[in-house]
Amino acid sequence: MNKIRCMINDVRYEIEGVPPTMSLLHYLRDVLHLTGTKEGCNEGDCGACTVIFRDDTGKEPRYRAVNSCLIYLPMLHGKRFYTIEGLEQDGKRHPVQEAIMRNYASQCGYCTPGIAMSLFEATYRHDMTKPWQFTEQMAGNLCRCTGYRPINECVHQLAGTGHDDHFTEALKEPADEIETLDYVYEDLEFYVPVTLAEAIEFKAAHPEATMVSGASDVGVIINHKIGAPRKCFMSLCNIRELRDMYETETGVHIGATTRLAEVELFCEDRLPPFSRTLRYFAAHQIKQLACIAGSISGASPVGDMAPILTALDADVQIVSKNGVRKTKMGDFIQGYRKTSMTPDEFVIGFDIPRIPDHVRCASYKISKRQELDISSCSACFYIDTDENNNVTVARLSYGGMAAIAGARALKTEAFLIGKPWNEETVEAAAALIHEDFKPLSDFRASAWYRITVAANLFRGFYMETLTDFHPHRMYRPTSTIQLGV
Amino acid sequence: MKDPNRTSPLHENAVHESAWKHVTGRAKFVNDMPLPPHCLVSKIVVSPVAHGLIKQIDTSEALKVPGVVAVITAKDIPGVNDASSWMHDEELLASKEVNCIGQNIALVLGENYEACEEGAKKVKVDIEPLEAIIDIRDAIAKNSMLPGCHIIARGDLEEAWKEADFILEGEVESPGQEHWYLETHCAQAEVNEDDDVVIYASSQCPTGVQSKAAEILGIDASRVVCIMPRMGGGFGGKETQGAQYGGLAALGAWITRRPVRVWLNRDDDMAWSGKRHPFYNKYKAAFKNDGTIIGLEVYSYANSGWAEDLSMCILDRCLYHLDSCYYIKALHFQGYTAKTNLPSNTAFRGFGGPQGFMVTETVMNRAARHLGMDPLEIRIKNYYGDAPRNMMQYESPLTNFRVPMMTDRIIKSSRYWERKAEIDAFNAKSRYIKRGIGFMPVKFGISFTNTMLNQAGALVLVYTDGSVAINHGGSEMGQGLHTKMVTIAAHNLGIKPEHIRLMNTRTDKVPNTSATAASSGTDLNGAAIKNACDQITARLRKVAAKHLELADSDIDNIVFDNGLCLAPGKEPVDIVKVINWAYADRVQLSAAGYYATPGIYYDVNKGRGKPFAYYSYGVCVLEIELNTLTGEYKLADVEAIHDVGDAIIPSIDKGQVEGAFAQGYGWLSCEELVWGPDGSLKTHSPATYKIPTFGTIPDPEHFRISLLENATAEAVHGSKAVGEPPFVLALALVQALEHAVCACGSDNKKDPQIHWPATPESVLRAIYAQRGEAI
Repeated sequence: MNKIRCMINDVRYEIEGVPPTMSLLHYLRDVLHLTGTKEGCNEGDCGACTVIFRDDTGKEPRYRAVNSCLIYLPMLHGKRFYTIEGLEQDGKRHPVQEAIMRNYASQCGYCTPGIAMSLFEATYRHDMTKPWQFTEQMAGNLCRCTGYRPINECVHQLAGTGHDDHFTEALKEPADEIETLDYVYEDLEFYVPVTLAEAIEFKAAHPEATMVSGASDVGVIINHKIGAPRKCFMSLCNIRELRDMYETETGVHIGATTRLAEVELFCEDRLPPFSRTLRYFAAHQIKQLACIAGSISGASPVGDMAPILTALDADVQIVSKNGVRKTKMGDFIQGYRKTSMTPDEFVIGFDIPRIPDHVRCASYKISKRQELDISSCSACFYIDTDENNNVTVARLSYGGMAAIAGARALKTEAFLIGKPWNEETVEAAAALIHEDFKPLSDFRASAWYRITVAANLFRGFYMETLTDFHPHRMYRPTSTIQLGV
Repeated sequence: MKDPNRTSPLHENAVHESAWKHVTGRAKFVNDMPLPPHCLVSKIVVSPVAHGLIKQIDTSEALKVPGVVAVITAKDIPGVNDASSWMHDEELLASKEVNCIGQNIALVLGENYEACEEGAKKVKVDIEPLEAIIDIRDAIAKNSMLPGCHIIARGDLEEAWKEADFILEGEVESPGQEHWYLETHCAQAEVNEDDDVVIYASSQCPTGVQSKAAEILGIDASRVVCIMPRMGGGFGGKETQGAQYGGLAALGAWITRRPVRVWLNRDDDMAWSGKRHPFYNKYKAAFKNDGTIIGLEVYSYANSGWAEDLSMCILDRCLYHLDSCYYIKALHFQGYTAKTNLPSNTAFRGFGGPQGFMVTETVMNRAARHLGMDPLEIRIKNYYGDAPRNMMQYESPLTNFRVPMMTDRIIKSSRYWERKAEIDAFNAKSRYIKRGIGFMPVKFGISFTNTMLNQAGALVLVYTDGSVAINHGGSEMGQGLHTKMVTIAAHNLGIKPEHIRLMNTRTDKVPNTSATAASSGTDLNGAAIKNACDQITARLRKVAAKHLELADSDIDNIVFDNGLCLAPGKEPVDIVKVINWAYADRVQLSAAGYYATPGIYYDVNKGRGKPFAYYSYGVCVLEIELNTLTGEYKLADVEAIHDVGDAIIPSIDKGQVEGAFAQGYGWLSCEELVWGPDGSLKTHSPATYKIPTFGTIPDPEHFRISLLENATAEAVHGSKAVGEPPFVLALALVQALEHAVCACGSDNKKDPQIHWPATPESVLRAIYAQRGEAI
């Protein structure tokens, strides 16, 4: 297949003759003249461009809000979308639109279409039972006018209320058959396979291909034209077998492209560190398309998934034409933006060991703003003790502290082994962390802040795990360290 | 107050007049308009250095890029090369000297954005770098100042220093702030067959765009029309700074004879546009041991960036608000506008006012700590009161001061004293988590500080089917101005709001308009619309009296209400009938309205006058919870009461208060502008510059904003202005954070050293300093 087949607002489109690096946002605005969807930042940080897509990869089809600025046209292939223009049916406004008006939740109106689409998703979600989910649902939509209070009223009024309407009926329609897409435009190629075998084949033939799933990381590079222009892309977004997530005998398997939004929910009780960090990770919309493989494959020193995978001693599954190999997460990232993968390899999944009851484990993410911000420092700690309360396993893994994401505080870890797990030991260890890292100063935080907080997080971890060894996410916590008060 | 005998939308909640378009995606912003045939788009080439001399501009390579149609530089400008609001100190396109990173040098026009961007990269600009001043302290040290100095002084400070029980001296720095309107700058221009120019602009000041474009092209202003459909937020950032983009679009269209759109992407908008002025202040304050402030000396320096823009007016407003809510017997306020090589800073909600408050509130907190008093207690002690304690710094008496009454009210409703005690008890036993409570009173002067600007016009057109088109000079940026104008027209004409059509703001309908700014949009334009409606209803009353055969003495008793003409002793008559009587009788059914705020004046040389028509008031109590291990904190609870008089539309005003609070909270907490030593903005995207998110603001039960009830006031229909004053409420955070940080140390009298905005790092540093630990 060399044409992109998709559906927008219940109309079928076949797209060809435009660059594959054109985003859905610009296609909507410039080609279809659907200008209700707005550009606010073109990098997934504001939500003004939010649209809905129908996700057919789960048990049941459902709607998900996504940023159209970071979706490239070939990724539309085989999918159905709604924009703000699609909400009215039979000349009647959608309940979302009525709620925004009723609650006086639009002022300048520029963020409103995006807000409406995030509220639309909430309307058809039936899993929003916990307070944190309402805040998380809207965290990816910036509004500069209202102060959010009326939008808060809207999401609480709307969540889970979507029944028996055009959109629930539309969900009952069978999913479209998806064929592999090989989209070529001038010197650009964008390959969207449906099987892993095809992907392996393509990567062997095109080791230079930029790999994406949701393109939320690479998209910023494309939109801002950073670095040398990329000509060849492959998205794994249509490969169903890479989206699995299930419990194994030893822990949890997470497929490479499993949506972070699903990881966040699935891991809430199974692997709490993921859920704690993911609550404050990126925008809600980003988490619908982004995946763990994308988070670590770029080997960004401030990636938030690497410290967790490292502390939990996860295995990374890597594939190429030569077969599947496994590597420990601690060996996967080898330097600044450098992994142990060869150009023909890519990540297909993770095996993450269960956290035993007797192990203390928690994750932390520190940023200038709690929601939707890149970490100045992130961490995950894993401490096991014996029957005498002496430390037997210590993994302290950090983001933002070194060139390597998930860098471990090795001196501190060595010191901890065999020591009694008490405040005295923790204080001594916190002092040692200063010897483990020499972080940088930048506009997110100074070296002083990073190293001070790195040590303090460990102190906080000790306090936090005194009673609860696997602390969960709290609703609207004061800070990263969720000391119950 | 609501008139029980009238069926009118006045003082009732109402949905924004464009809300149905916002929620359906139909609301068109300038960049949403379909590109007209043959329209060119653009990319601006800007200075890569903060200060330098332009040696040469070579556009030849850029012109070779396929799709590039023209590259325009200063030499191509037919009229005046200027983009400033009034000082003529900002070139539209730099010709000789560049003064900040991001200053316009050339405009590349092309068939598409890719071509323009490629072309812009190929414009070669040879610049000889000169020394640049980035930091305000450096500017002060080198005496790099823009013209002008404002002094407001009274009383004998020497006496105050002698009389004082203690004197506090120190510095206060308030941060800048990026507007982060959701819609970035955009303008589109076309030249028509008569060589007239039509500009669509996202601008708070369409007249500014019109007059600037006329100047740039060297043509009469009457040949330029600026149309302003709506803005996706302005907040002051589109008061003066939109003019350059309207001007560039007009210039491009004039030269190429094709329509031109100038649109800034987010990064360019953030990197190039002016922001809130950061201020550096030095103060010296004299207090008595009972907490009375008897003298205050403040020297304020606004970091203006490289050009004047509105800096002096912003400095004025800072000095006008250095008194906060307190009577200060002897004072000396002196301010300067420092010149630095940053983009020229500009208007931003509050316009210097919040920066002024910040100084005096910091002083009050310090004095309270010194005395072991509660910060609320010392504030109440110093509030303005009866004469002579009602005289403000410019020797104008404060009347109808509602803050003490509102303070009493919020103390009770927020349980301030009980919560303070609970928090102190909590802090005493909590090791890592500390809480803090803060209070903030607001007295905010309403009027443009430049008296001339306090005027407005309107044009009301009544058609014979009973429908009405209203035009006014104000511009809609989300604040609900148009909705209020419809309401005022509906009330005063007695015609149902659904028959009143609010027209786009256009300079060919209402001329010589002031910017929609200074919170004055409703006061001025609403009064102008009322004036036009009153002219029309006066005529209609006469017509009705004639046709209903009423005595002349009954004319004034005719009321138009909700589509009906109600005359004494007569059956109600459809107002459309009266309108048609008027038409048949050849009575004019349209009127131009006008309003000028009475009674305001100011002599800047003497520092005396009555710069404001009245004051808006507010009070706020907020609570935060701080983690002393990381410096992170959350806004746990907010309660505020704000005085908007009798709100024209309460739902809109409440939205303004809530939104302003959130923006003020962002200014003080997470919004950090980081500049490199070369004058480049490091935080030029939402990835690095963080405005409040959904989770920043507490759930509704902990975010209680209310409007003062039964508050009939001075402006149109008993209302008050609302846009800016509630921004200041967020300064309660200063006291709350200082409270929590103080609880980290052992000495309650030690002053916390919080650098604003209070990012987690800033707060953690303050905590360590409070404990006397090394940083």
